[in-house]
Amino acid sequence: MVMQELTAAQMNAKFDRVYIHQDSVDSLVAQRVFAVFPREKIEITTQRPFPETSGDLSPSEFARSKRHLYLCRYPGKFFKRCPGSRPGLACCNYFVLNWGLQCDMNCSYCYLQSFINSPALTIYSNLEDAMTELAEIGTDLGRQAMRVGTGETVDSLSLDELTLYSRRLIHFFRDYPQWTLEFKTKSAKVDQFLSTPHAGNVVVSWSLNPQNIITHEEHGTASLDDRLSAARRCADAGFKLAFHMDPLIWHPEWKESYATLVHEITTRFKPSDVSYMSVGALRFQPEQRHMMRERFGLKSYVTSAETFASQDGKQRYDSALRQEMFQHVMEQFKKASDQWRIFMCMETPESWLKTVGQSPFKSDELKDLYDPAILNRVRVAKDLSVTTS
Amino acid sequence: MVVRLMSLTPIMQCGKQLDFQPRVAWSPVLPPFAWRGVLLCGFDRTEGAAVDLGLDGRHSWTEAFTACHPALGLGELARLSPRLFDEDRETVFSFYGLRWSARLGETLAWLARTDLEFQNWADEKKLGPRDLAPFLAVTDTAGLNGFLKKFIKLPISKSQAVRALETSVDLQLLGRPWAELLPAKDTPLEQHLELLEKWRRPRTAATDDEWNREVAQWPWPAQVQGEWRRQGDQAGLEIKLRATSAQDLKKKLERLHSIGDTWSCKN
Repeated sequence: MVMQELTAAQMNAKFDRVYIHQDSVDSLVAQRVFAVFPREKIEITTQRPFPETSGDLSPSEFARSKRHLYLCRYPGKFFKRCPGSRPGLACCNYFVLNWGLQCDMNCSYCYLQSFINSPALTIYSNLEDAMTELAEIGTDLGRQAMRVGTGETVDSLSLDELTLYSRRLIHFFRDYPQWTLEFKTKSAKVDQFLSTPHAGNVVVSWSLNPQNIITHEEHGTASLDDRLSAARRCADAGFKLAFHMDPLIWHPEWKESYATLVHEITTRFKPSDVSYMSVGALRFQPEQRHMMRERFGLKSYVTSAETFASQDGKQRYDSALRQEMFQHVMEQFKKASDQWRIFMCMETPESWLKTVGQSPFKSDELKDLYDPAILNRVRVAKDLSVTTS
Repeated sequence: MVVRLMSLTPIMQCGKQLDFQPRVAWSPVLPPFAWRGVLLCGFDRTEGAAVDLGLDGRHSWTEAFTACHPALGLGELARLSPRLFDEDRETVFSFYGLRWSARLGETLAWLARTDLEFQNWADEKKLGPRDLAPFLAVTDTAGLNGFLKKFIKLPISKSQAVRALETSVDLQLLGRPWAELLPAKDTPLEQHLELLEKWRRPRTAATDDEWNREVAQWPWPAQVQGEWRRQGDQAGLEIKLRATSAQDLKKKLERLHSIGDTWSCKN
């Protein structure tokens, strides 16, 4: 089967129905949708699907939202700050470009369960407006280092064969070589952009977990081997790589599982292949636990986890256990090579101190990722809103 | 002055389809009210007439109903909900501070299936939809009603009850039968609640217990108490110290240094 047919078959298996808002019918992504889905599956509409749905989604509505695709224009600002940048958390100059809402995969711990109230997987059809916003920012800050990620409210690449947004963004970022574009995914969908000329400023990143955790908790995602193979293809095409070992999930054989995972990474990649590597432990908003319990029962390592309220209000493992998990992972990397560059995502400065002995703002290796001056410059220049999700 | 005549409808002719068994009986000194022949309150009345608020066209159905029932608990709303027309739900529930959604509908449907006694207890405790959310995950309901029947007899505060119910649901989903989740005879409530927490977080509880035993053996100076305590995701040493003079304080702090050394050896 050629790629187009394969994509069509996969997409048709994924979605029961596709809705295109009238205002998006002429968009590039709608043209792709018309090419991939049979006409009887597509409905042109003037309102969002399931208009009767209001308030918090029930678990069945949440599950349904993953099987209904909706294309519409996004009327607001695309460019937002990363939610990690809140007082009390050490975070990393990361800016978020949301071109959609909801994910077609189904991880038990997914934080989208705590805030999505959209009854369908939504893709915004006006990516050109996002790029216009970025170009405006570029007039002030085009020469500053800045990271822009697209994987906060959607998986950056799992539907990319349909949208081909990666190609448009990679092309756009050629004019801003100081900026970094980061795709974040649990899929292995990379072949559609590998031939796109780029400025060497695109990081393709994977969220990684041991295969037993992928099987148990990350439903509908690519296998570890497929993710790492896709990463290899990206590296061979000159794209930078990043890996996020996040969330670390406690399970009885966690030490062996994570040691094996680190071994997989360090035997398949050199430290110089990977721009950065983050680790983070399981965390979730407390109100999310009800949705998770109903959707995954207590057999999941996430729902049955021993978590407690932490200072920022999220549920986390005991701080000593988190520290032990971070140290274990760091030690495994150190065993392979001391060249691995690792930072902790969404963690408190105390965790940094306990695990690596210094604040990220003081580490020579990491301070460019955590430079508050860059955040301030952007904030002043564009008065950007801080997301609070 | 404008005098309006009250429109009366004989109770015998009034529909009682809205009888949701309110917890508090309608005051006998007040007449029952109806809206276009449907009784809104005083459902136990069989004689006399109801003041019909719907006949003069000045009030909507929801205005009339909510005026009769300015406050309702979740249990009462659970019984009321199936008696409402779909199009009225959003307005009625928003009056009681709730946003209608499929999720709220599921919570109310679950509550409506429990015994009236539990529903009334939920209303007395002023439980909200989120407090009952854990029960929506329960698939095996055998023994649940019996558990709830006994649970509501416990001398328990709202916050304790909410926590204990959620922990019990988790434990039941982890395989413990409902009957085990009630306090054993003569077990004080506090002790039972602690036990539930230990069952739910056994590894952390074991570690905390181990530290507690360890800390108790350390050479504490007189009038200094050390205890291993957990606050959220952090556990640590909590020290209570009583000093009678600056010199005494200095001496005790010096001796606490040796406790620090003991602790360092354990890490």
